[in-house]
Formats: sequence, C-alpha cells, structure tokens
Amino acid sequence: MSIAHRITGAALYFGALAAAAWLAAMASGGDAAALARDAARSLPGQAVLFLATWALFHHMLGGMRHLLWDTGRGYSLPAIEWLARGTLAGGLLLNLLFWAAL
Amino acid sequence: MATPLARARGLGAGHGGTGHFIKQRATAIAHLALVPFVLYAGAALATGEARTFFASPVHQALSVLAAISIATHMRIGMQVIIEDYIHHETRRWALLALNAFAAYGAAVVAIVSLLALGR
Repeated sequence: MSIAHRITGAALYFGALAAAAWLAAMASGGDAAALARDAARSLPGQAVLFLATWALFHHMLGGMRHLLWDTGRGYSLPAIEWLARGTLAGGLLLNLLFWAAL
Repeated sequence: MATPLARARGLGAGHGGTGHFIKQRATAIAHLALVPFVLYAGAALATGEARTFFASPVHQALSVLAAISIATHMRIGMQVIIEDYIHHETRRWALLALNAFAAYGAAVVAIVSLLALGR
C-alpha cells in the first residue's frame, strides 16, 4: 500500500508536468491548442485521464491515512488492514463516481 | 526547528531536518481543500473553454495557489524517491537538481499560461 502511495505519487508528478504542458499549449493557441484539445478528448487521452484521476484519489486517501498515522492513531493491525482496504476501494469508488458525474 | 548542533551536523541523513516533513504535511492538508477545486477545474476545462474558466480572478487565484502547493509537494515527494534509490553521488545531485527545475519550472509555465488564458 505504501508502494502504491509512492507509485501514484510518481505518476501524478508526471501528470502535473503534462498538465502544465497542456495549459501552455492552450495558451499558445493555434495548432498547439488544437492538438492539446484533440489529445485530451481522444480515447487514449480519456483513458490516461481516467487513470490519472484514479491515481489522484488513491494518493489523496493514502495521504489522509499517513496524516492519521502522524497523530499516532490507527496502528492496530485491524485498523491498518481496514485503512488499506478503504484506500483501495475508496480510490476506485471516488474515481467511478467522479467520471459518472462528468 | 534546527538546533545549533543539528545545523552544525547537517540536519540528518536527508540534509533537510524537519522542514520537508512539515512542508509535505502542510501542502497535503492544503490539497485536501484544493483537490476538489482542481477536479472542478478539470471538469470545466474538459467540457468548456479554457479562456472562459480562467477569466474569473477567483479561478485564477485558486489555480495559482494550487500550482505553488502542488509544485512544493511533488518536488519533496520526488526528492524522497531519488534519495531512496539513487546512491551514486553525482547522479543523485543531477537528478535532485532536475527535479527542482522540473517541479518549479512546470509551476511557472502553468501559472503564466493560465494568466494568459484569463486575460
């Protein structure tokens, strides 16, 4: 689970770089903006965005888990197992809800 | 929070003392509030026009705050990854530098772009 937190973090890092590049393309206008817009709306683009938001939800829930641990709570074995399940299930659920609402 | 002795000793293995620990938690907590906005922005940008979204000064302000907070958080996070896996000293310093440039450079690109879109 902690490696998932690290992996989603790394994925989001590159996602953030891509988001900045996307904004630059949109601001540049013309061909760059058209390319950025089309890429985001394409099927592979949408698939990447779906995975990116999933990574975001998973990383956010994992981060809340870490903040809880920082307060000294949630270290019992049952708590750790439930927190791990909650992060995994919650991340997936939030992502599905977000995309359904779009 | 660095004692004189900690300063003299170079602030522990990561050479950063408690600063990064606190900054990572502070940005994480800021993100709990900012992520809903970022998702809202993402949805608006996906369905509408970027210029319309960034015309609002409130959207611009929140986006700038998000960019700065995210840049800080991602830079520290990636720094920990680099320090954990890269032990060759020259390679590590090069990647740590690249990390800082990429994180803050991307934030500047994003901020300049969104302000231009909002003009």
